[in-house]
Amino acid sequence: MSGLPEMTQGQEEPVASTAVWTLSLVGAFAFMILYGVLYPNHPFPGLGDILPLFSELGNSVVWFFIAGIILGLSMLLAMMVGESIAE
Amino acid sequence: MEIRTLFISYIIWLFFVRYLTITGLGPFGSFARDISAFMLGKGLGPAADLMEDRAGGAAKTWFAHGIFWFIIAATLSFLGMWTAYEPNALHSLGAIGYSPSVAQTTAAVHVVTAFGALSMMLMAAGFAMQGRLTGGRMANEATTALIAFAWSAVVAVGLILSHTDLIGTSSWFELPPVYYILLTFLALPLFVNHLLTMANSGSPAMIPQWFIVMGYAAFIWLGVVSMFLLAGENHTLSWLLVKVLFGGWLLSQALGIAHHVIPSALGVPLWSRSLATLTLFGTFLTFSPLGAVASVPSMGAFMQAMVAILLSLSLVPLIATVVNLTKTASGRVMESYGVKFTILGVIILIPISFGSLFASVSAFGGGNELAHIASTLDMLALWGVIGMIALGSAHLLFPQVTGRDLFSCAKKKMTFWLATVGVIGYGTSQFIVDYVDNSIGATDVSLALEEAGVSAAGAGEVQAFAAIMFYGVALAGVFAAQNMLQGSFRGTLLSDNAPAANVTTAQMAIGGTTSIRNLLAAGAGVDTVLTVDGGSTEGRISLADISPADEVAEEEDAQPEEADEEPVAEIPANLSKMLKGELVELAKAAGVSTSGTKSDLIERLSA
Repeated sequence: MSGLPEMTQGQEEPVASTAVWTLSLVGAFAFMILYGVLYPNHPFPGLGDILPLFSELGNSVVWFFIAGIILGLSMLLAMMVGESIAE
Repeated sequence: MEIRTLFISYIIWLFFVRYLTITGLGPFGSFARDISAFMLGKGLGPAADLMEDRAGGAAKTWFAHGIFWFIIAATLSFLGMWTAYEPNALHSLGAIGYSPSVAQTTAAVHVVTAFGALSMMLMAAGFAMQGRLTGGRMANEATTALIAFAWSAVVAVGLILSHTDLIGTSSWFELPPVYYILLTFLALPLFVNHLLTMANSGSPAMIPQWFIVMGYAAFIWLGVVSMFLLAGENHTLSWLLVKVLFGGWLLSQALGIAHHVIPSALGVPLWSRSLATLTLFGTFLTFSPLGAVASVPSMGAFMQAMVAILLSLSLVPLIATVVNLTKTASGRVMESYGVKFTILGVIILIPISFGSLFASVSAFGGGNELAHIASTLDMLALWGVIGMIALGSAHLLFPQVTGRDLFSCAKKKMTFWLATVGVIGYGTSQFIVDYVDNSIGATDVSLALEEAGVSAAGAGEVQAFAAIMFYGVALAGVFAAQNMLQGSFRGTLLSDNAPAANVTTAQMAIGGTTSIRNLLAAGAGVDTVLTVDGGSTEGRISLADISPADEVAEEEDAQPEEADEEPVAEIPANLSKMLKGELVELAKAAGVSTSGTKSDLIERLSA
C-alpha cells in the first residue's frame, strides 16, 4: 500500500506555462473585442452592466481612487480571515 | 470665561498631575494603587475577562484600531480635497442618502483624524513604550485593550454625528461638547493605568513617560473644559481648546514617542538631557503654534502681546527637539524605518511650526492675513509631523509588542516613500492652490478682472494634483496595515532573528533526487513526514547520498582540523606514583575514558 498523498505538487515552472496563461488572457480579451465587433448593439453579458456603472456614479475619476482604497481594505479583511484560519 | 483663568487652571492641573506622578499616586499611595488596580481589573466584572491580560496586548489592540482609522481618516481627507476640485464628484451617493456639506465633511475629517487615527496610534505607542520602560507590561492590559473597542465605537459615532445638523462652528470641536466628555471618560482609566504602571515600577519617570502622562492630563482637561462651549459661542475658548489639542495632546504624545523611538531603535541615549527637559516644560507651558486655523476676531492689546510671546516661545522646545533628536540619530537614520519616519516627522516640524506661528499670531485678535493657508498648515502638522511619528512608532513598537517583525521590508519601503511623497507633494501643491485662489479671490483683483472681461481659471487642476498626492498617504496606511497584520502572524521572530517558516508542510512525497535546500524551500520543517517515492514507508534519506560531492569533500577536509583542535595533555613518565584523582584529571585532559581502576587509567594514558 503506497503512503503517497492523493495529490503531489511539482516545483518546476516551465517557460511555456507563462506563455500559456498570457495567451489565454490575450485570447479572452480578443474574444470580448470580437464580440463587440460582431454584435455592436449587444452589451457583453455581465460586463456590460458593470462598465457603465462608473458613468452612472457621476463620471468622475475619483471612483477609481475609491476603488483602490476599497480593494486595499478588502485585501486586509481577506488577510485577517486567511491568517486566522491558517493559525 | 477668560482665557487667562482657563490657562491658569490648565497649568495648575498639570502641576498637580506632576506631583501625583512623582509621589506615586499621591499621599494615599497604597490605597490609590489598590483601588485603581481593582477598578481596572475585577471592578469591571465579567467584561474584564473578554480580553487576555497579556503583556503588550493593549498596545497591539490599540495599534490595530489606530491603523484602521488611519486609512479611513486619510481617505476622508483625500475625498475632501477632491471635492474641493470637483464638488459634484460624489453627488451620485445622494441616492443612498450621503450628501454632506463642506462643513460636515470637515467635521468628519477632524474627528476621525484627531481623535481616531492619530490619537489611537499614539496611545498604542504610549502603552508599548510605557510597558517596556517599566518592566515589560502595563499594570492592566486587558481592560486597556477593551477600551480600544469602546474608543473606536465613540469615534464611529462621531463620524456619524458629524454628518448631521448637530455640528457647530467651533474649529476642530464641531461636535456637541458632550461628545468630548465621553472621550475624557474613556481616557481617564487609561491615564490611571499609566500612573499605576509607573507607581508600581518604582523607578523615576523618564522624559518620554512624562510626555505621555502630562499629555493625558491635557486631554482630560480638554474634555472637561469643552463643556463650557455649551454656554454658547466662545472664540477664545475654542482657540485655547485647539491649541491644547494640538500642543498639549497630539504633539506631546508624538514628542514623547519620538524621544523613545530614536534612542531605543539605535541603542544610544539622547544627545542632551537638558534639551529634552526644556522640550518637556516648553511644550506644556507655552501655546503651540500648531492648530493655526483657530482664530479670535478681536482681543485686547495686552492679551495679544502675551499670547504672541507664548506662541513665539513655543519655538524654543520645538527647535530643541529637532536638534536633540537629529544629533541622537546622527549618521544612523537609515538603520531603521521607525527612525526614518520619526526623523522625517521631526524635521517637517520646523517649517510647519514657523508657518503656523505667523498664522497663529495673526489669527489671535489680528487681521488673520494668513487664514488661507491655515488649513493646509494644520493638515501638514497632523499628517506630516504627527502622522509620520505615529507610523514610525508602528514600525518599531508594534513588532516589539507582537514579538514578530513586520512581514515585508519592501512594504516598509513603499509605505515610507508613499507617505513622504504624499505629504510633501500635497503640501507644495496645496500651498500653490491656497495662494492662487486667495489672490484671484481678493476684492481688487476680482474687480479688475471683471472690468477687463477676463475670467480666471483658478488653480483647480493643481487642487486635483494635491489630492492625488495625498492619496499616497492613504495608500501608505493600507500598506502599513497589511504589513502589520501579516507581520503579527508570520513575521520573523524577534527573539531569534531567524526567518520563520511560513507554513510547515505536514507531508511531502519525494521522487528522484533532491537536496535539503529544496525541501526547506518547498515548506518542509523538522516535523514534516518524508515519504520516499516507491511506496516503502521504511525508506530513509541519507544526508551523504543527497549532499553534493564537493560538500562531502569539504567535510572530510574539515575532520583533521577538528582533530588538531582537541586538547593535548602532556603525559608524565611516573604515572604509577600519581594518585587516582590526579590520573582521572589527566585522563579528562587527554580525552580518554576516566572509568575503571588506577591500572586501567595508566594503561590508557600510556597507550
